[in-house]
Amino acid sequence: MELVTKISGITLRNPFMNASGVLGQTVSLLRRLQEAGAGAVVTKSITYEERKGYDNPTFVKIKCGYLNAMGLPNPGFKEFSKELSSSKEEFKVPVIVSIAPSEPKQAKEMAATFKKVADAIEINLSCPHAEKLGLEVFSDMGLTENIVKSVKDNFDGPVFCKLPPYRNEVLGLIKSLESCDALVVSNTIRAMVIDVKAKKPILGNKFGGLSGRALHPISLALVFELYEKTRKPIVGVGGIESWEDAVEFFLAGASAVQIGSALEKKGTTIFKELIEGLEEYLKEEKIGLEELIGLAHDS
Amino acid sequence: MYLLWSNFNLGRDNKIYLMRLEMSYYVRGKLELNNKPLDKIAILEFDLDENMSCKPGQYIMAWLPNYGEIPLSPSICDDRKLQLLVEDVGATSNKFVNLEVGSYAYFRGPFGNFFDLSRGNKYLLVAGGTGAAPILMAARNLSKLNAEVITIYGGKSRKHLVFLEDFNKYSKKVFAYTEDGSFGYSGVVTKDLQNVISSFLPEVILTTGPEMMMRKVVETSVRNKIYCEASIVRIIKCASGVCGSCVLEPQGLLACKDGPVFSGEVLINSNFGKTMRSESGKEVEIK
Repeated sequence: MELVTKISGITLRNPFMNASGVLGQTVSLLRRLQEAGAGAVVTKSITYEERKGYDNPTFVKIKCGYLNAMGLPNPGFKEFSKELSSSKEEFKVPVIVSIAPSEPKQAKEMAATFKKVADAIEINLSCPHAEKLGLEVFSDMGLTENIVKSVKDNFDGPVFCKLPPYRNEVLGLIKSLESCDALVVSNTIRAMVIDVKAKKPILGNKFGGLSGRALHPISLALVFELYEKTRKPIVGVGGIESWEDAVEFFLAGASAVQIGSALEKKGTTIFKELIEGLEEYLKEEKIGLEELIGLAHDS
Repeated sequence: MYLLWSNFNLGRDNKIYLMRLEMSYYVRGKLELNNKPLDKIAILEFDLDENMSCKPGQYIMAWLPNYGEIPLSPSICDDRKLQLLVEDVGATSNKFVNLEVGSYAYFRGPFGNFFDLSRGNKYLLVAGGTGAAPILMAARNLSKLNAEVITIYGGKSRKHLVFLEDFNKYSKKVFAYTEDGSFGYSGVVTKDLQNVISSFLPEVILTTGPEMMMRKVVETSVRNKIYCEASIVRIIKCASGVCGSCVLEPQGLLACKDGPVFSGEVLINSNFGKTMRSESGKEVEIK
């Protein structure tokens, strides 16, 4: 079965890509994802300045998923765009550059710089644990609107916005996203884990983002609701570990999905597993991927 | 899995066993001994609350709440005893080196792959400085397997050769090197490597130590067509193959999960000994 899917004008050979922050830090890792079968590759969120990230522990496995507080480590947009532009021709699949600007001026400069190397830009409006970035930007409606506009005005390709999983906040601020082309739903949930013997929060940053299994039904509900409320194309993300988890997102209205935590559990071979599983399902159900998208809604 | 064990009364030990499989589970250790042969180097021995077991080359994540967590390859990690060789190279390792007896630290793991000890019967071990810990564990396990072991062990001075007595115990012969000439042969470990290889004819070479030293060992092994493995050091953050900070390029291999032990053939075709990624992911040169 044909797995090709389209989002805001870009064509993917299949609807599976990595989630930002997972194996997207270097060209070598993005290339490994491409070779493993990903339909598009997404970079780590790039900020204006270089960031070292938070102190360890930065990533822990818990009973219902994973907690991370990496702290957006990245070499800064100038350094990263240099690395990406020197190897752009190695990519046969779309490269989606994730950026986390804190104000419109930064957004403008970053969008203009990535113009030549990015097939799409994903704006991180939802990192739950970085000061003046991600979620802190999103909570300011005017700021979000201006950042999205700045990117849109300085970039030719589609602009995606990655949202937090908090329903009321997202619905309340949805108007600020009018100029963006597609929504990525959703980022992690702010969370914490405490070690009972050390009697302290484990993460160096104390707070982190919850991903994995526990996030899946929460993201799914938000995708379902946003599909009806905005009619913008949606990229579903949250706890996808199997093709069934992905199909749920397509039925709820996502045109493509991103894989994050499952890369810890299954490694990059998960892409092959998802592709084969989805192909088999579409064949058995005698349905095309395009027809599947949003099918769970009452017409 | 969670539903399974939480719905039945499995007893404390079984419950802990299953928890360790499905989540990051820290084992608490009480510092029993802090032997500091030098200001910036310490051999730490912890008594663990629960058993931990680690194969040579594997690493654990060692956490001091409020300070940080670092990857370390133990020299002993068996049952409830954990021995670590720590060099003060940053804030967290500084705290570890100066940890007072009776203090607690927390450990999770083991992580990563390990040295292949079943590839032959003649092993040449090449250990440099504070990288010697996993090689010592390998030497001990090889001697239990009755393998023939020759060790080349080097450091800045005699005081830096903290595991010399142990290596003597587990090796047929130890060639010791000091940079200042205070003990053994004067110079670096790779100085007479070719001669040792030519006379001993090892089937396998294992190495840990400073990266430039290991690069030389790897190149010499590949040139002599001898199977070689090195345990490499990168910035490890997630320890789970997710964040990419420890990437080996251009292959995109992850030291935290695909490694930290890699074969000579993989390393020789990589940026090993040339560049690595900094904490921010910037490419930096290795000196």
